[in-house]
Amino acid sequence: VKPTTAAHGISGLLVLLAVGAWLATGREGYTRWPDEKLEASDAPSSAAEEALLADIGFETEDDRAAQLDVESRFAFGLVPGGPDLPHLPSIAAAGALAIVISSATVARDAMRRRRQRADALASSSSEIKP
Amino acid sequence: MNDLIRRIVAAGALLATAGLALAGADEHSRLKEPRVPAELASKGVIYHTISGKQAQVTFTSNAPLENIVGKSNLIVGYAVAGPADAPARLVGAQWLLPVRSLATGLPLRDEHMADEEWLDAESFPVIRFTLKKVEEVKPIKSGEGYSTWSATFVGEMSMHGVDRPIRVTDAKLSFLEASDKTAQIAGGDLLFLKCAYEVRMSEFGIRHKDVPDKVSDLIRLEQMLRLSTEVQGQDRRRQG
Repeated sequence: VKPTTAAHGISGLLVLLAVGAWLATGREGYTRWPDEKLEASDAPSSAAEEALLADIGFETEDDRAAQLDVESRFAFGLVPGGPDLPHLPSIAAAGALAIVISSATVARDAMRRRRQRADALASSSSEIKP
Repeated sequence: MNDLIRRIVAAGALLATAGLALAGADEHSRLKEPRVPAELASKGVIYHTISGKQAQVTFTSNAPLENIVGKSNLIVGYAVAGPADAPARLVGAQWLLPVRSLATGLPLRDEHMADEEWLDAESFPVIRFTLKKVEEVKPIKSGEGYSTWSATFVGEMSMHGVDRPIRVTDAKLSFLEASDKTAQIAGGDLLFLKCAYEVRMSEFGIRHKDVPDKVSDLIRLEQMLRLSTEVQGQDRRRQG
């Protein structure tokens, strides 16, 4: 496999893996990790409490299902969740890295071709000299 | 060698200071329960909010990439029940929410939310709701040792240094006498209170360049408060 092809393949694979991670971790907007503050801000209700609330007509299972929530967990996001290293991995970061890898490869190839042409020109002109 | 020991001791001292600072920050975000005014205290049974357990408030705001959802369980406050035949006709209530206790799961977003451009926790560390009156009180269900009601709360919300009247419709309240079942949740008679309402940040003087293009001006709040006639654990010492 040519290095150029391999580089473009790696770029494509990076983006595919990133999209796969995004799909697998809940399709969130921002990359996040289990968060102590969020964990501390909620505790699960006991089954006894849920049964009691249902008995007294205060809350049903449907009410609970409709409640908004945010969980303390890892999510691979579309964009970084912050400027620090753990929050950087994201589809946007993977895409940027893929673009850098592919662009660097294309640029390197272009420079090499230009150098080869210059070398060929130089050698052909030296051959013409008497 | 001495230099190495000095560096280790210095690092240890730094870590200890950082630990104390963090513990202090947590302590700072915990508030003491507001004092029940004497004129209210004599009018009915006082219920104290149980905090530090299940989430008491959950807010959501629409944003392009994802809806921002955050929560807190550090609300403190009291409610004074109405007459025995209609306890949901509360004679008074007040709750305080420390701004810095709101958690969205993203530390950077939590910081931004508390900074000067948004809720400005430094200048206005607390969001306060004071009940003025209760309207449209309707019984939903009652039985041995409990009664469940719906009601509309009319009160004043103070946020970001701005006080505004607020009307919360369809609030649900359940009063439970102490029993073996309620003892599994907390001691004393219990009051469960649930409501949902919306506020506009602009009405509280929060105007940010990202509103409304990147973050909605409208915030939806859902609240579920558990209160008890007994002051809970640590709050017993802290009650003002």
